[in-house]
Amino acid sequence: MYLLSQEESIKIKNRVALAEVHNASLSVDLVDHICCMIEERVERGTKLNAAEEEVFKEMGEVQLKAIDIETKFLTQNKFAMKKRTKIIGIIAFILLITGFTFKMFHLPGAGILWGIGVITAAFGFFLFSLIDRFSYEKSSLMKASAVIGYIGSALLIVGLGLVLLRWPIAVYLAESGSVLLLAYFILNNAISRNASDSK
Amino acid sequence: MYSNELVRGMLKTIILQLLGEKDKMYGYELSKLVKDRTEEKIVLTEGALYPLLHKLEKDNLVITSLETVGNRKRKYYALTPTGETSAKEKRHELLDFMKTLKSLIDPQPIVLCTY
Repeated sequence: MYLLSQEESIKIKNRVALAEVHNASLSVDLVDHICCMIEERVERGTKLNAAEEEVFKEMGEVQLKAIDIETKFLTQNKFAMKKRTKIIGIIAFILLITGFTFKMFHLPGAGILWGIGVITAAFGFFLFSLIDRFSYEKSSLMKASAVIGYIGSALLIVGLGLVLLRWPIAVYLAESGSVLLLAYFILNNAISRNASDSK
Repeated sequence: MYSNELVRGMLKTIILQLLGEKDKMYGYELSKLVKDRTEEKIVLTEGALYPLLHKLEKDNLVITSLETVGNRKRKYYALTPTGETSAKEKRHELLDFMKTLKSLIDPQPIVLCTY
């Protein structure tokens, strides 16, 4: 039975690492799998270099990275992630409600509470929701559109939040946020249409 | 070769079942066994196999052990007691599902009894 030499095994390991497989345990699996595939081909009479290229062509570095992402997605504790986002959302909501109530009764500290609530919602809740939703997204275009969507929503929320505090910059923030959100919806729609067309 | 949609839902059952047949198996061995036994009608791709094996490990259904084979490390997967119970349950569920599916798509003609 043909077995790859140490140098050849290291070469495969390096190629797997180059494909951005970060999970060390998965890397062991993939290196062994690729080596087995190459050895099988060599045993059938293919030359070593040709066998290696054939296998990497078949698997592809993009696919190796996708396996790493998929493994991360399946093994991640999604419950803890959702719980974290939920807690931040509740804190933001309580701050906003308290701030708003203080404002209605003209109590001191209303502006600070409202401001912190807005910032927690925009840079906490919405940011983590986005991370939970898109961190495993394989398409970089979708990731880019999600970032645009996030910046748009964050600006809109901060803008609308600051309107209550009568900040002069608030309207500009809300306007630019709306424009970015519009861009996000157009881009997202185009990507979805493109994806369904290609299917 | 069957479509991915058809196979995807049964992958966990297939893997648990095959791991139950031996003390331990490695990834390539599993994929080769499925390919050979099904005459290439079911192919376990690396993209489906390894994420699922890692998920099973995280869920404590399989345990792994590292061994050196030739000049590289090889990870072997084996069922845990929980995995063995799960494999039996999944097998039973799949057989029952196949029976139900058969009665659904290939119904037996109703025989009317006349006295």
